[in-house]
Amino acid sequence: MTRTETKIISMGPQHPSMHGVLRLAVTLDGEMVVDVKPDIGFLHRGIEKLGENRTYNQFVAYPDRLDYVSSYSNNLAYCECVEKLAGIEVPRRAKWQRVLFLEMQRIASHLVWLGTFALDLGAWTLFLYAFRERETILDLFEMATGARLTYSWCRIGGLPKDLPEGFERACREFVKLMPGRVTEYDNLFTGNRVLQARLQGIGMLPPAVGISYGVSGPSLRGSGVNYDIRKTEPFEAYAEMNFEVATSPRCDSYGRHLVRMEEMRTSVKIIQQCLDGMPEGEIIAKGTKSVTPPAGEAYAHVESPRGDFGVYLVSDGKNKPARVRLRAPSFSNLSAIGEMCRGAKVADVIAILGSIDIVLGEIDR
Amino acid sequence: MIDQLKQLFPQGIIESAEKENELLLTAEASILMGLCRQLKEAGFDYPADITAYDDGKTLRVIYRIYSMSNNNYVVLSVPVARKGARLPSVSSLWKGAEWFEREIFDLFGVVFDKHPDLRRILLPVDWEGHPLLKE
Repeated sequence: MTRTETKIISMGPQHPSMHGVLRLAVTLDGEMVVDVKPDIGFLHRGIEKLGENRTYNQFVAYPDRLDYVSSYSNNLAYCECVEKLAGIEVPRRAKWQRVLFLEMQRIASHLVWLGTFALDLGAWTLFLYAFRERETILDLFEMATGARLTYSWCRIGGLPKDLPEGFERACREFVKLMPGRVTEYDNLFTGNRVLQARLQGIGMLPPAVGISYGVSGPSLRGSGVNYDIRKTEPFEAYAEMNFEVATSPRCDSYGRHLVRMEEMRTSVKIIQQCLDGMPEGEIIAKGTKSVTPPAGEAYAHVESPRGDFGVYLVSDGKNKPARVRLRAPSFSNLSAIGEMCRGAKVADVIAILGSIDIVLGEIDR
Repeated sequence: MIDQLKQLFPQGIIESAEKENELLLTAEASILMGLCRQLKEAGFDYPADITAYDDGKTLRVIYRIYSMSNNNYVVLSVPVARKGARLPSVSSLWKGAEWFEREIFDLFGVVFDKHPDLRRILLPVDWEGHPLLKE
């Protein structure tokens, strides 16, 4: 009579599909997953502690490095938090440009997700297609900010410089090009029967479970929960934008996939509106070169491509924060992976992990 | 809402205020579980963030819970001792608290009773000390 027992295997931290340095301790019963326990901290850099030793202005460059795939959202959340704490009013033109850049960043981040997700599942072709469009976006960022990845293009009170000559024309060309490309990805990928078999019904996350875990972003919207900070607590100029929030009632990996594809299309629409309606005016508030907020605390959060990215600052009146707390969406999203993987097969673990879209930089800080 | 809570917990609520879309509470550790159960029943279902703040004199554990249906927050601040602090775990109410509490244990040294898996989460297993406490 054969006796079976469960076995714990280790996926990672050096693993091409781990999306960073992540170790998943997977308890297996044959090929069936009993439990998944993520082991994080390999990329812990002590950024929250570092924040206590930098002035508010000096710290601006650090949040970019958290979720490095979507650095604009982190940078924006931090600047918003300082602005709230110090009561700084950001000029309208700066708010519109922040929305423009954040939506461009959203598309760039979703393209990284799409390419690597396809790669994880064995669909090699899509990766370079997705990165082709990403190059266009990164060229736009480089034109405006000088950097391709961690731009620190939000400063306390606004933006450091206005849009350069030629940016608007290049951005409009991109806006014309992108929707067709998203359709191309759908043709290559979304409708594929093998993909659907690999994703449909896999990684179920019931909405109540997702909410209880603090899951946010496309991972929660893929379970039918209409929670998008751009709508519930509109920040910057989002109250003036006209767009729909993408959700999917599916609760599985395919639903999360569909949500992100739709979000790319939505972001293009918002970028178009930003270009068409950009108000004139200043680009940064006065007197923000060296900010010392009064004692107090503030919380600001944005809808990053991964979800609810929040910054909590406590000031004791000095020129350095007393506490910098960075609330990363991937941290909470990843904590739900045990629930999502129960009963799945080993190969599904990779698909589920990819569908959550995590970045270790913000998980570990 | 605050009056309701003050009636249920006449002793434990130290401070309360309402600001924009936030309900701010400071409460004693002794009423934490009961208070959190009430808050969850009142619709605060999404653990946005649970963290801690040490100002050198007091250590505060701060629970920021969001209500999906009401689009508002409760921010609950619980002062504890800087060394040897123990709090009940709220992970039975909000699953997200599991990892948040592990991080507070890791970086601040607060122990959470009845936590299903209380161990370090970011720092290596053999790390000594709790770095986010002020010296």
